[in-house]
Formats: sequence, structure tokens, C-alpha cells
Amino acid sequence: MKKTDLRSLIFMALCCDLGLFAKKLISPAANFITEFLHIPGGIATSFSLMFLVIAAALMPFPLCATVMGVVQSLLALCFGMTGSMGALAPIGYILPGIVIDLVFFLAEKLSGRRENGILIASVLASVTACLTANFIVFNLRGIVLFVYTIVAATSGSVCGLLGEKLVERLHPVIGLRQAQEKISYRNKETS
Amino acid sequence: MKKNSIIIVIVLLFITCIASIFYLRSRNDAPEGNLAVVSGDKTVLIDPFGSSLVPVKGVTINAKGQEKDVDETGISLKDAVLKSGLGGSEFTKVRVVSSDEYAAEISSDEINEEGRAYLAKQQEDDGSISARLYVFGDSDSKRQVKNVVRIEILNE
Repeated sequence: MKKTDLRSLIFMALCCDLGLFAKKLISPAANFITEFLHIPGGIATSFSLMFLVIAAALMPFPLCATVMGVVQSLLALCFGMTGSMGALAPIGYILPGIVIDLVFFLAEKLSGRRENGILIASVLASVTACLTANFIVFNLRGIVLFVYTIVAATSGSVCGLLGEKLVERLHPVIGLRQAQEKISYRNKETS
Repeated sequence: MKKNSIIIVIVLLFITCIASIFYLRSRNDAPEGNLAVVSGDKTVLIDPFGSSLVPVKGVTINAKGQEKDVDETGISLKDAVLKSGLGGSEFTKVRVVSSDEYAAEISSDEINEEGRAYLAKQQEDDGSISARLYVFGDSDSKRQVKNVVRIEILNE
């Protein structure tokens, strides 16, 4: 965390807020699909988690998504946006964060590039969030649980695809390396 | 975009479509205005609001701790179970399920408690009638179930 500059922290905070409020924004459209499928959700959360994935992909330091998940859960508790999970809502925010960090850690170890883990991180984080909600609130079983999980995975993959594109676009301007380059450039200028 | 990513998305979309079709075809929804009461292998359809309705009055508390006064009409959950004729034998709890499979469990003691669990008659935006479960006395509104379609009588 020592290497994190102010710009990165602001970007992370922005992604936390976007993740939290984007869920509300997309909910009417997502509910239209989930009501048709007779499942209790799974789409809006994937869109919300996309911002965590984007931030974690661009900020190459450990536990980025987990820290953001903690911040999101605190914000959700403060704003009363806990949904049907109530006081247990932090679990639903923190667990996907841990999964995202784990996937990026493995992607970096195995392929040397965090960007390779975006889609998988998005899919697994969505599935984790949906299974957590099922464990805490819904208690679905059988085919309904399968459909709920597969819808979450699919929406996670679509958001992952979108996330890959956004990371590609944001990479030249946001990220640790760019921030350091910018600082050293300014140092050169002033010295 | 990477080719592999697009392939993964297409495969997942395909599995979702197949699973959704299979699931929607396997659903056995009660006709509009009716509730399915299930006990073991037996399923009975009831019209919950076909007979005389009682006032559903009480206070519910949501996840934020805000109180809301409820003043509607409907029937008690106990009457709904009795109406089906399946509640005669011993049961420990019932599971009230909404159209999106969200469910709440209510113990037989709570069902027998006067003024505790009710199915309120609700008018939807499209003019259809639906049932909403209210469990008064809960510290949050987790067991408030909108658009109830099924009541499962359990003995576990």
C-alpha cells in the first residue's frame, strides 16, 4: 500500500461508489430478466462487481479488491443499502473481493499478466456473491439454484468482457506504473 | 477482445438458455388468483381471497429499522393452510414461496399464534391480484414475501 499514490486511491474510491450505486441503476432492467426467469437476482450484482474487478486489475497490489469490498460494505451499512442480507451484507461484499484478489494473484503467477484474469475473476466473483446470498437469504435448491448460479456466471462473463475492454482503455492513464512515471517526470522537471 | 473470452461468454450463454428453458418448462405454477399448497406428494389449489377477508393490521420493521404501519385485508396463514385440507396432520413449519422462489419459513407455533402471520390481498400494477405474506413481530422484514405462489407444508 505504500506505493499507492493519491490518484490510485481516488480511482479506487470512485470504483467503490460506482459499484455500489450502479447496482441500483441497473436493477430495473435486471429485475425484468430475473422476474421472467423466476429467480431472485444475480445480474445487477455482476455489474456492480465489474468495477471492483476493473480497479483490482489496474492497481497491481495485493488485497486491493478485498479492501474495496470492505469499504463498499461499510458504505452499504452507512447508507442502509444492505438489501435482504441485513447486517450480514458485508460478507456478500468481502467474499467476492477475496475471490477477485485470489484470481488476479494466480493470473499474475501463472501468466505474468493480471489482465488475463479479468473475465475469470468477474465470473467467479459473481458466482461467489450469488452463492453467498443464497446461503444467507434465499436457500434455493436444485434446478432453481443452478439457474440462479449460471445466470450470475453468464452476467459475470458479459461484465468481464466489458471490464477487459475498459481496462484496455484505462490502462494508459490509470495504474501504478503510470502514476510513478508521472511523478518521476515531474521530479525531473522541478529538479 | 480476446477470442477465448468471447468463446467463454457464448458457452455460458448457451448453457443459461438451455437451463432456463428446462427450468421454466418444469415449473408448475398455480393459475392466477390461486395458491398451490403442497404437502409431500399432494398439491391442492386454493383461492385464498375467495371467502370473507379479515383485516391485516400491524407494524413491520425493515432492514434499516424503520417501522411501517400495515392496514390491509387478507386471510391468516393458518386459515390458508386449513382451507387446503392438508394441515390436519402434524406439521412443524410451512415454507411460503414467491414467484421468484424467495421463501420464508414459519413455524407451526407462529402460525397458530393469533395476529402473527397473514396473507394480504394485493393489487398489482397490471390489475392482477397477488398475495403478500406479513409476519408481524419480526425484528426485520426478511419474512415479508411478495407475490406468494406456493405454500409448502413441512414436517422436518
